[in-house]
Amino acid sequence: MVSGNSIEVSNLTKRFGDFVAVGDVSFDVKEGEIFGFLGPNGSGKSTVIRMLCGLLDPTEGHATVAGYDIAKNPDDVKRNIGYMSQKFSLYEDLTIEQNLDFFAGIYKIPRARIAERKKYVIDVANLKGLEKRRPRELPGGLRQRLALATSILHEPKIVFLDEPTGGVDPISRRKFWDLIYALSESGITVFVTTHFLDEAEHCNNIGFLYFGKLIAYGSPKELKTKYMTQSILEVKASQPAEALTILGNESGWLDETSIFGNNIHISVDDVELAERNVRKLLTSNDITVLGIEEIEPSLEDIFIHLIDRENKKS
Amino acid sequence: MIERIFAIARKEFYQIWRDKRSLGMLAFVPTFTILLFGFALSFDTKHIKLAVADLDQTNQSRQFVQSFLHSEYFDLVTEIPSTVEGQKMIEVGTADVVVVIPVDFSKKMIGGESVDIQALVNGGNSNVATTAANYVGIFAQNYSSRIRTAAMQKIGRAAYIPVDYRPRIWFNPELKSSKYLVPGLMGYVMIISTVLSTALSIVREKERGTIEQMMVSPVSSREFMIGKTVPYFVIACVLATLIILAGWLLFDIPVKGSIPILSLALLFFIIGGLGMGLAISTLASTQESAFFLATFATVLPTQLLSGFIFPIENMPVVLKAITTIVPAKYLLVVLRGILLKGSPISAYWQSFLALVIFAFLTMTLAIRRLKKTV
Repeated sequence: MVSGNSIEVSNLTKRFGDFVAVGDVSFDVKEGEIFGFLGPNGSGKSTVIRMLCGLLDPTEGHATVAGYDIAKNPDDVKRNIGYMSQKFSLYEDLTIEQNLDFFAGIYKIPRARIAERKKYVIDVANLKGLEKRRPRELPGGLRQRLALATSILHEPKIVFLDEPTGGVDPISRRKFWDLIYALSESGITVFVTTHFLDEAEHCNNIGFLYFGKLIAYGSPKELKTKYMTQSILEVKASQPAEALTILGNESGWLDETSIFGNNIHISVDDVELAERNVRKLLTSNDITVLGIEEIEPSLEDIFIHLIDRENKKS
Repeated sequence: MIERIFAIARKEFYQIWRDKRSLGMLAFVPTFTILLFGFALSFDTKHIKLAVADLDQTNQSRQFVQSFLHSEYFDLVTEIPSTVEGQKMIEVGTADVVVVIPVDFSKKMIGGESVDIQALVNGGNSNVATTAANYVGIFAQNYSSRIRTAAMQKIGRAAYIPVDYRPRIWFNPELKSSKYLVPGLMGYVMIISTVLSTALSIVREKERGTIEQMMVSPVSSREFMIGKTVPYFVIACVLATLIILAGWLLFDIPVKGSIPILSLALLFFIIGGLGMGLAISTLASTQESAFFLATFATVLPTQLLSGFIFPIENMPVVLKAITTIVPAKYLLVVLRGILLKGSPISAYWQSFLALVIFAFLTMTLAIRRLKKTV
């Protein structure tokens, strides 16, 4: 941990028979940062998390978590991490207090510290006075906060959150992220997977996994410059659906087309040439161009671009 | 290690206590099974419905009929004037046995001639019929030998019976089938409750995803396994004690043999059952399939192939071979040995050893399989 990295992954590979679930993945996560791990379903995110949590042995490569080798010292790894799964995994039939006592027991929290740690969790999750209630009686947002707070009951250095905000309303999501910031500020490394790209913007660093390969890695800002050599134009047209089809058939001067709400995003090399082409093309098809504007690419633009590039490769 | 096991066991106790339905099942099923099998299921043939056609109507004939009624084996339903009614009664089922005493019963007897007695037996239930026919024979024989002895004494000669058959039945002098069944019930109840409860409790954690939280924690598979089974072990021990008490108080089956050896045998059986439950939990991913597997592995084999109800000696060779892997079979030998006979361990050490092997095998299997999943 001299390096200041709490997770170091080099050439991590996991094969199930002939199937390569994770192929040659390398990245580092700095101490105290929020690392966003992104990728479509089935891209191998869970396999990576399972390996980093010491549940699965890598086929090749290695990784250290909190300074411990995941293959050689999985028990040390487990002692130093917290984990919150996608599925709520506290005991619904036990009271919140009984749940906390249980986790205090299995993590061997010293008796003298248990009361203090329990109080911390209750405070952080805003559950004061509800200690005798059962998780099933809580609304979704509170349950999520309880699960996160419980996962840091034993003061781990790193916490893994596997799609923690699925099925939660936007306000609760906001509050949940406030909690993540607070943890990060207190020095805990947060490793979070998510589907929400707006959440990814909040991360210090991002890794994007696609079919088992890490196709992008860096801060949101870096991703927008490093991986995006082209410019993004936002086209507003009277009939967006038809306009999308027409532009989608074009090639050479433009690369990807995608629709964002009522607007079309196209990635191009030459902004001026593209602007002229779009106007000409759409007008000749009786579509009114309401506006063309060069915009800063969002993470979504970048991922679409990267996926497109990957698909073209194979 | 102890702290973690304690934390898991305590959590499990809370959950069992909270889940009143399972708790009820855990208490109700054994009670119900024991009362049902112990009291209702009986192979004893008593209170056979007897109809008598006493065509003689003399002192002697009445004495003969009375000798049947002194026992609890026969209940006199009615006296009938002729054999014809008797046939009808057997057809409709109001009588199981009809005894016909001929007109010349007393006359022949006083004259020193043999008398023929007719007994019509309803063969609908072969079990009852065999016993009933035997009983009639025994009573008739007893009656004749009494008459004979009296006649001999009258002429000043000592009674002489060439072969005097005096059976003495050991261990269960009244031949109560409950004494035979109750030890089997203990095995039956114990195996169902141990296997089912552990299998379900682990699969429930899989189903709800709570096992994942355990997997990412430093809890080892051994700690997990012990913590999860300790509560069910305690419950099974309490259950075993209660059943032994019930056997003593309700069915008059005291522990004749060594209590420590009995406890040890039950202990190994319980551990084996818990191990079996754990092993099953690794095969099932839903509570339904765990329930099905656990019941399939315990209920039928224990009911049919352990010697609980049907004697193993009478089974065809193939079935007999299968009984080797039914753990309750060995517990039964040990239980019957200790409870009914009070025999020393030398009499059933093979079965005792089999129980130890059962516990060892299932636990090893469970640890191996759980290591892969947890």
